[in-house]
Amino acid sequence: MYKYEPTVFKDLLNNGTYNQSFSADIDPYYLRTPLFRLIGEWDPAKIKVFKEKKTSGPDTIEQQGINGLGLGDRYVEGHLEDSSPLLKKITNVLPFAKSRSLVHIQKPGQMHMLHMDANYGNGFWDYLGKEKNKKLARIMIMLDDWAPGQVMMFGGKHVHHWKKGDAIYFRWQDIPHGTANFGHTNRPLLITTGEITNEFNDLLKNNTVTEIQV
Amino acid sequence: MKHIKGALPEINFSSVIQRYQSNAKYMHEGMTSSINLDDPDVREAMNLYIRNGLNPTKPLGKRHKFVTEDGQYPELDEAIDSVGLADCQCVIMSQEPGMFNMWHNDEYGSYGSRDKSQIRRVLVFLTDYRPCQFLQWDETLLHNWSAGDIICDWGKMSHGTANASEHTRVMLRLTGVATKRYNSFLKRYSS
Repeated sequence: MYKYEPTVFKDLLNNGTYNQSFSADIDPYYLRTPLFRLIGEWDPAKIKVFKEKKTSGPDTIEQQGINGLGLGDRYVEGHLEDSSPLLKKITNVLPFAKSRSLVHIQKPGQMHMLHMDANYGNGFWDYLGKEKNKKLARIMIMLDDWAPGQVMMFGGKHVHHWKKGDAIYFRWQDIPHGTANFGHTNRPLLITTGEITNEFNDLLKNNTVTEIQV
Repeated sequence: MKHIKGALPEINFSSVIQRYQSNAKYMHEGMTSSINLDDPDVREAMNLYIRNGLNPTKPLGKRHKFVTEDGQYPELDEAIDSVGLADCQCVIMSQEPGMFNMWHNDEYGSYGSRDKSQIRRVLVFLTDYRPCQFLQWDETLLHNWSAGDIICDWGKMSHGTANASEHTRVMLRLTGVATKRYNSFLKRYSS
């Protein structure tokens, strides 16, 4: 029986404020599905990663390294600037002062094991000082409609049946999560970390789903 | 699809799993006699993997086939009998972390040209749910199962699974022909 509990996962989980109940009911403070919705005419079939990003930090490698898996078993990953130019139009309208985005195309058969996000950016966010974790939010922008066999879990909540343009917000500092694609089609998304603005805080306070035109 | 909680609670789960561990082998069903490639539906299921750039012979997890009352898992004999399927094929299956089973329909290829309309499949959980163990049947994502729960009666419903957790998930899969006893077994939980 395989059982592997990476120390780094436990440490990051214990550093956060999530109660670790893994209940399907989750406080909207931690997760909003979606927080807002982007409306645009982009063609999901045209989303490509031209140059794959192959590196990740040791915390990520340790958490993904279960039962012989590696980073390449998660998804095809690329920086925004190494991917389809049409994605720039999307990131330009996001309610962040400054943002950094990666494209994740999860192909059938790929999965990202249950994990905690470590702060990343390779120094990109250092200008925010020691409190940078509190000044950054993370969203997943779904670039295509959901298809059967595509699933994400945040805390204990399954997320599925998303719509193209949905921006799923989660407290990356606190919430364990994982994803899998055992469906028949690619699942493209944009994962964006951004410097929180008043506009973003207003969206968090608002209980309805705001539509933002791309 | 029915998820029946606590249907078979009397099994000694830890004893079964302990014995299974020494018998289990990584195995794709296509590498045994159970995939009938004469059946176009089965060929289509294999094509699914190929079309997506995946190896259709990659194991979906570990397996151990046995026959009820053959002495290998005496803890399961009573439970299997109580389900009431005739000509029952018994397989303990584990899905280790990182393994998946693509979205598919059951084709019961191992039953060859026999009438498949009365074939039923029952899955008995032998381990408790862990976060990121994904099981989807049609529109439903299952969660919070316990050892002894069963799922059954899904007809032609599409389904698929993946294990993105840190723990192996183990199930007993029973496939057989529906009988009056089987229908009575289900009726007991239908309210």
